[in-house]
Amino acid sequence: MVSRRRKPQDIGFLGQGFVIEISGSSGSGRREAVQRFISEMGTETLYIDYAQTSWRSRGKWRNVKFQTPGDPLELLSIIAGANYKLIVVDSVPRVFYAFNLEYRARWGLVASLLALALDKASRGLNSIFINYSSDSKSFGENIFAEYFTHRALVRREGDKITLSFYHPYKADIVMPSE
Amino acid sequence: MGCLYDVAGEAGSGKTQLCMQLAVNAQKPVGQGGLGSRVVFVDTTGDFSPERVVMMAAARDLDPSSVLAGILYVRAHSLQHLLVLLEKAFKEVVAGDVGLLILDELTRLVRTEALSARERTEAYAKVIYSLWRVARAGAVVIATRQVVQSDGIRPAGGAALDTYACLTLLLRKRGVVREAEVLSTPWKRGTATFRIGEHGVEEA
Repeated sequence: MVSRRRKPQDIGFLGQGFVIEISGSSGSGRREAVQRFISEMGTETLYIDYAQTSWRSRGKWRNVKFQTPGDPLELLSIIAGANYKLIVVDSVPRVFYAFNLEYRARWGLVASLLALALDKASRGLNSIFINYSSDSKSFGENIFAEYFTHRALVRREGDKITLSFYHPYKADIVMPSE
Repeated sequence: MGCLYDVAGEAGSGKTQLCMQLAVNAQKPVGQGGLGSRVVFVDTTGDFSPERVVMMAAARDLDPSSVLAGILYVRAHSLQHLLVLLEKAFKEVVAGDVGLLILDELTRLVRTEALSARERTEAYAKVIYSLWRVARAGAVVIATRQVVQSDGIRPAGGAALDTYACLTLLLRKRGVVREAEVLSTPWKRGTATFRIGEHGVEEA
């Protein structure tokens, strides 16, 4: 496995068609990393928001359309029909807890969402799933890990936010400060 | 209004004191920085102190007995009881004279009951749903939670409570001063310090 330190403009190394998991603990800077990622990519983005990010963004995120679908079918159909180059799902645990579903159906919903994103990735559409991680294990690690084409942890050191990719290869991207 | 705020911190960091102070301040008139409304205080720990509320009210030139009368205090003894109380809080908000719901503390009843992973998931889902229902009915909702020691301190509840609120604050004790750190984007870990004195929460 090769470890590389990359510049933010190198996000092109991800290629076309990816499903990235960006995970970290509360306060690690996951959404800041995603915001900087979106601005580096410069594409119109659909942001599926169950974490009140729209409220906190105060309308200042450019090129981003926020949506919070009210039921699982609406959520799946929005992703299925989305015509955006990039979709962000915020977040895996919040989608898991968002609806009044049976326990197994909660896992099934997130897995279906990931399968859909993976299918779209094969046709060039990119998605980012924000996730929670603790002690280097993401939420739903055993069930969801295989769906991600790339996985990264967020690290914050002062104002500097680093995306540390660890799957399928190791690479650090230091995200630019706003 | 209409949002949920999450305050995490270790024991002694000032969560309950902050909640009691907010229960007092919320009753001030709107023009003076309050909500001009009654408060529902749901207590799962038994740490609420009417004596402290009296001191806090007197220090802000409010009538202590009307401030106490403006706090609908309830003690939740079990998870099921908590859900019933949150339903009643929702009805009080809809009735129109409650502007603030405080839940101190959220994770305790879930953590102390012997629940399977499935039951814990359902318990958190129900509590979060009930809190958001109260918030969407037009109240400000504040819920506190403990922290756990895992690679530094972090809010308890793990993924179940990760970014469930509009804003998460982490309180820390720094000697006699308390520090409140914002964990939510986009405030980039902004901090504020405060002191807990005889008259309540004060600027440090």
